[in-house]
Amino acid sequence: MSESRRTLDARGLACPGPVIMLKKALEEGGSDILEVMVDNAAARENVSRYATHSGCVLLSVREDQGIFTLSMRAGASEGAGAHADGGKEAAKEAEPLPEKPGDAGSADGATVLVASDRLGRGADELGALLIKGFIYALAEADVPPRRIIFMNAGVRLSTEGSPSLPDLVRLSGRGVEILSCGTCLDYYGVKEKLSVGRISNMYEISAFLLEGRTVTI
Amino acid sequence: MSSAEEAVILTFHSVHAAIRAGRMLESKGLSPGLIPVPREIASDCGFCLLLESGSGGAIDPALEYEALWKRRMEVDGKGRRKTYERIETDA
Repeated sequence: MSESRRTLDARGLACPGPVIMLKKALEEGGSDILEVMVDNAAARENVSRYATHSGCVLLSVREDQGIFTLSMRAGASEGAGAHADGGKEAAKEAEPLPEKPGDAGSADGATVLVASDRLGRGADELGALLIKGFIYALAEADVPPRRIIFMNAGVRLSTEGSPSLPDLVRLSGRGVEILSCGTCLDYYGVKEKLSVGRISNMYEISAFLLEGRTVTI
Repeated sequence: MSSAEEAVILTFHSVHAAIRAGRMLESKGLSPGLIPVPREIASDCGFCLLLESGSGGAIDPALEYEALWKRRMEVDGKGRRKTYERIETDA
């Protein structure tokens, strides 16, 4: 027996339009596979999030010339109406993300200061995983920051043996300025092992930190 | 000029399971990337394993993954386009 399919064309709709279209289709039922077409990244994420929290199984996400097509298996028995609170939970989870010109549009021009080789306080293993994931996410962003500055133990990330080197090399290749504090490289004895970007000093670093928006990690 | 790369992504129910599976694959001589779960396939915070194509044979239920995805990345003059396909084989 073949599966029934339905395509929802939500292109051109502002949020939360695409999510409402999907919600209605799920309530109407009758389709095993739903395909939702949207034309921006925020709508893609909102639809994906709503689908997941409505019990659908996301099967694929395709992009062709700026049009995203999300294919999902409808979760009939666990749909939005299945929530004990009458769907409030699903509605909350599907609260729309702001629409931006790019996945990380607001990062344009920002300076990121990385002052440790761990992100946050807590388990070392988790901190190392989080900082690696953060730098990976920067490398994947549509709009990367203008520069990344490594200080204190953060310089371990820009030197030989760092698991983040491939991502930093990618960022450097995209024009992101990678700076490492010379004093810090010297203190940790890794000045000769700097593998991406260049050495900087406190005067230049302090000027960069004061000139515009800085995000400290 | 364009090129395409394929990779396999494994998602997990917890970050601990992802770390465990990463160590298991490393013990087999593989180099899985432990990366944030792409936003295209999950909106929750989490980490997954990314394996470049050709490593598929090493994936077995002992890794206790939640789902398997195939990622295809095409690169051309216009930029990068990623396509994700869920592989209907759960551990």
